[in-house]
Amino acid sequence: MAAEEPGDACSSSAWRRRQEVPEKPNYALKYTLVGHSAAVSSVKFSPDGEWLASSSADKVIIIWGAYDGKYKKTLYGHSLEISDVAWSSDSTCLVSASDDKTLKIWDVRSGKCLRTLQGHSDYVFCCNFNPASTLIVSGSFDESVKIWEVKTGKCLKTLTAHSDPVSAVHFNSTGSLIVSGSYDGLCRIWDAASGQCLKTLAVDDNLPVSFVKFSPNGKYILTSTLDSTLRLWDYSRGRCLKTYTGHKNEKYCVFASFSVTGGKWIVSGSEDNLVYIWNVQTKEIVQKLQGHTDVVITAACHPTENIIASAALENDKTIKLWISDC
Amino acid sequence: MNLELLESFGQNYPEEADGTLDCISMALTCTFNRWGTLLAVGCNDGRIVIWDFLTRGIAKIISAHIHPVCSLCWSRDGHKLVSASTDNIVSQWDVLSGDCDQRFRFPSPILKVQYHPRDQNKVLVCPMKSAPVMLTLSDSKHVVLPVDDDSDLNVVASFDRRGEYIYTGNAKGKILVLKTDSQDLVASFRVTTGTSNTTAIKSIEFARKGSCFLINTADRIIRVYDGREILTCGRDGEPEPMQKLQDLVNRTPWKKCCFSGDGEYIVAGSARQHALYIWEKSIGNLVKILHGTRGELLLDVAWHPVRPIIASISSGVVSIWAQNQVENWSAFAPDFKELDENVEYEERESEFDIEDEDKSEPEQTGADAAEDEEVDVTSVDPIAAFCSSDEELEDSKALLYLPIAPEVEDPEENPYGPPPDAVQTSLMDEGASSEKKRQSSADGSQPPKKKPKTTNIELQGVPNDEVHPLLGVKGDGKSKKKQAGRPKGSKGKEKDSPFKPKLYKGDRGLPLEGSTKGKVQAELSQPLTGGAISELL
Repeated sequence: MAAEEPGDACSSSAWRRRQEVPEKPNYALKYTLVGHSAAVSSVKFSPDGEWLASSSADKVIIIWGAYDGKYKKTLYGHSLEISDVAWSSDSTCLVSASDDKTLKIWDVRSGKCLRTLQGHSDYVFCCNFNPASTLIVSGSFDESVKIWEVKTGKCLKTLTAHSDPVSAVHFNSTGSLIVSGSYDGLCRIWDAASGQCLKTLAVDDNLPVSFVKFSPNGKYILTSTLDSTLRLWDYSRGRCLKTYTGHKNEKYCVFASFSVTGGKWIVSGSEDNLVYIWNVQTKEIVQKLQGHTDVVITAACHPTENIIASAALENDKTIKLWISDC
Repeated sequence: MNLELLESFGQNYPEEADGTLDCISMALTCTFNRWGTLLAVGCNDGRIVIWDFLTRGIAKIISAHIHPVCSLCWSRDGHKLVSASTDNIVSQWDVLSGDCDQRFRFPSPILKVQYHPRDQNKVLVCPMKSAPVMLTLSDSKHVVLPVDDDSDLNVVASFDRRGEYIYTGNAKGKILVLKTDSQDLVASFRVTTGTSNTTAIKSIEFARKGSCFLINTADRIIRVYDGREILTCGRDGEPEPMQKLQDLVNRTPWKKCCFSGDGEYIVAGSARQHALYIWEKSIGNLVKILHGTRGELLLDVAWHPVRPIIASISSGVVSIWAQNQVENWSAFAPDFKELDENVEYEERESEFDIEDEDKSEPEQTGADAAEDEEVDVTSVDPIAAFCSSDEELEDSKALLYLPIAPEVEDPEENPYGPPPDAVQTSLMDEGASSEKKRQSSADGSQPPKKKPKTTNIELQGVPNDEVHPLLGVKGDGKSKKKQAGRPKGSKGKEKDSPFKPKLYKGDRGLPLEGSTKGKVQAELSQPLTGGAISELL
């Protein structure tokens, strides 16, 4: 179910007409999606831009329309909470990571679970497809990263990646590299074909890395640590180029994202119930989206339109869609 | 991007065996696509099996011919394959759909097919006992290339790296360089051996980078030339080869030779035994001999375009040779650097004092300057290894991977299914056959495909009763039998091999025994593509 709310623009239209390069976005709440019965853990837009998938602690995945927020279907099958969900590149399959130590591959059209990937010995926390959608990478509380073959469901490689739970895994845009972040404060980059470790970034010695992902062109890594800081790294030189602060992130693994459809922003959830948006270059906070009533655990950006989806924990349980002009 | 991180010493050569690609059919020829992501293998039963090199699994099977496939070539954008079979047919296939676009029937068996490196519309065909023919696919026309000596028609040909010229060689050692568009002769020379005896040219191979090429001749010497030198020598020139490579000890004849991806190494497969010799091109020294199973004969050798990996075919099985995977332990620590040699470290006078007086002020300005840099998160740099020197961007429409649908496992009891009173309103079409449709790639459940156009090519003075050399070879189990697959009793690979082969079909590290291998093969015979394969089995 979706409800449309009155707009909440925060910059005047006259100002917008003057500027060529957008200095600030004007995201306004468009839809609130209600349907989950427990905290939402992750939302992701499909690569073709049609759907939004959300995973939740109520053990189900719900598919919504990306443009109208309409409920589409529910995917049942996991026996415990789901922590993450990811789309395949052709938008036909989903993979979900759950506390029941398995990952499941779903066919979106029929809503059926195609395959269950078993092998982890503890909660599976994060998952992603590679761009060719022939491999799935997963990170788990058992401190390992596993690479699975989509076709047969077999685990091709297990990387003894970290010494603490793995909080995030991501392929780069060509599928040749995997980045993994963990509570041990390290980010590691792996060669996808051989499983060799190529580089380690010590993001912070004492602080868990709660989230990591590649930039759209694969040149930079965005990391989030539990000291309320987001950092942008040039991993080939091992240098931190930008730091984004101002939000609150000390407890949960909050998702962040690059928004590149209009102006170039960094979007992240926060534990003070707001969605924060920073300018990539200047590092200033350009907008804070208000509306959730609990920790905003995840924020995702639409692949082609200026739409942000955000979701919050159990006091809220809703997903909100925000739309901007730039 | 990671190629730079990986190869700190530049591209090398493989050093040991790294398993096999085993499928039901017996492999005869193999070729990598331009990026090395897919390997097309032509088989004894007429099928083309396309392997995804990243997962080492089968991505697609095209039931191409009825007779063995003897030559294959990928188009530049990876969308098309051209194949030749021993019944004299050349066909072009669309890789994604598995459909045949066009067919050409020749009067004599085909030795080699090759796409023009830059223009997918042109295909070079080398029939036996005939001058090479260049086909234009769009209008199904063909042009017979001029030869030096009309009485000798055992000619092999190859495009040069950019497709500007065609090099042909005949049984008397004469090499002609023709311009592709006009077939004008721009250069020629004769390969002589010993005391000006002529030697037959067996094949001409070009490197993917640079202007070098090699000629494999019947006198068992591999000659490496620079293409630019040939052109400057002009007609009836006498260019000197850059290198002359041979096995002086055993006088090994060479079955197939090729360059490495960067053109720095040359691999040659022996025609007598299962051995691969690798030379360094610039120095001409032999750097490695890779030994396969004794008693097997090599059929084909291909070097991966980017990585130090070689695929070789013997006894119907594709063997992969790669580098030893040494874990780079220093990559696990963020500030460790691997050194090649010991470095003397001079410590400062006050380095280990509690209060370091001599230490210079840390660079504060440096860190701030970095934070002001423009960061570009969206523009993509083309990968240098994949681009030719005269091209700026990668082809965005290129086909690097084949889409793979996950196989559906047996439906399990689902205790966590939807509650019985919930209404599952699905607004999408619930095609029950949608999963099956996605799995089957080339079988009868699809709408009838349009019949491919078949063109008969007439060539003057070509004998009609020639038999392809592949069919004539005996004693290796490569008969015309369609029922392929390695004989279950054969212990050749396990007994004599110096290495432990790993099967890339769901191998979980179990030791290979005859019984488990048989089980794996039985699993493989599950038709993934529906009706077409079960007909052949």
